[in-house]
Amino acid sequence: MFSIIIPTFNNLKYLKKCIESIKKKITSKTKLIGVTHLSNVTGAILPIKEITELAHSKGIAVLVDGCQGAPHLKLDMQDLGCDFYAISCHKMYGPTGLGILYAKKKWLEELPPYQGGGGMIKEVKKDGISYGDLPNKYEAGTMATAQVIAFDQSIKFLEKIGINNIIKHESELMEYGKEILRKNNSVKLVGNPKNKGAVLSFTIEGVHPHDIATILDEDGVAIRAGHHCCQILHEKLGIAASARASLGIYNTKEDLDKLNSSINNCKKIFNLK
Amino acid sequence: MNIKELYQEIILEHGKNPRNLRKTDNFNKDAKGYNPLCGDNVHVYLKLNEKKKVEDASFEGSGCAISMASASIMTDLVKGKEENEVKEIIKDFLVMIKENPELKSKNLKEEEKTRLMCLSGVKQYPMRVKCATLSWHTLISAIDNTQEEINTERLD
Repeated sequence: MFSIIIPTFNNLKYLKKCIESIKKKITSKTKLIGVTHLSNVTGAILPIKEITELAHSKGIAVLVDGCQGAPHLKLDMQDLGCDFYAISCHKMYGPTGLGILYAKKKWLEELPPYQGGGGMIKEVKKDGISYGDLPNKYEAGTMATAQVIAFDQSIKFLEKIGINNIIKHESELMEYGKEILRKNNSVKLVGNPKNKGAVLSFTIEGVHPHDIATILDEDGVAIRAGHHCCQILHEKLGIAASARASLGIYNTKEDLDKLNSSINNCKKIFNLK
Repeated sequence: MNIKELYQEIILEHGKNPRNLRKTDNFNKDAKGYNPLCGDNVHVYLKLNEKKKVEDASFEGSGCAISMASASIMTDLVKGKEENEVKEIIKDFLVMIKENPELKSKNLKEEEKTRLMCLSGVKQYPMRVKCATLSWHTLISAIDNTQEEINTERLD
């Protein structure tokens, strides 16, 4: 019933190929397409608007994992048109333990509340219950007030910098990082999508990503290693795991130089040339 | 601690050329182990004779240098030892890797202790302890023949 769509496209016909590949996976049973906005492994940015147009033409709803998209891309929900969009606040320089699920009003009205608690009811009678108006229907119990207030500040912080500045800064860094890692022999970048967000996933022939991460960490370079919750993608790419440097507004070109020299240190420890 | 104490030559060498990375013919005990957080997996095979002595030990799997080196050194070391001796060595190793400064088992020769102590560096890297212990926990499961897949996230 569910199809898994993995963003591994890397040629000029990106958009067409992407849409075609999704089209092929759709069956008469497909009710919902779940897709990431920005792959946390390859950095591929998916054409959400076009995917949604395709899905809606067949009466299918679209759920977007926007945890990576929201902090790094310009969001216009009306333009994207998707039915659901999930955001993780700590990835927007915000507090942990808080998330946002954007949904079109028609879905919020149609779907039942996922949990009960104070504040979400309108009327409770012996023979029935009616729920509060939106968004109360989905906000049962005591909310994480402190986190919500903190997240408001995170949004203000991001808006003050401006998403265009963020995109410019991050894509410049990403291009710079891509260049220096490409020049570093034995480093192999994972995926090369045309529309790429600011993540640099890589492998080093002969060094397991977890060993890379430990050595880099010792040099003060924090990366992530493993399958990044994308086991199927790694299987498809034919690698057990990958190392990933994620770039954000705080990073600089010097950070990337440091990443590169730490990778060289890693190669030295493992006696690679 | 210097990173080179973690990645000593012997670890790098075993990690690159793991011993006993194969499947024992006619094995009579085996178990699988898995670390769901990092994807490391191992399958340990044992062949015990009628006197419960380990005639052969081997493993299949993939993982980082530390997990591969640990499985390599472990399978080398248990060969020729009796089941109860192996159990005691495992216990000694697992305590050493977490807290004890040294190995105490009487079933280990000095040279064997030296070889195992090469893995003691992971103590300083809590994130990596599971890399070093996965194959050892899997060996316990193989000996006990529990048919239980070891999952590092379900261990104490």
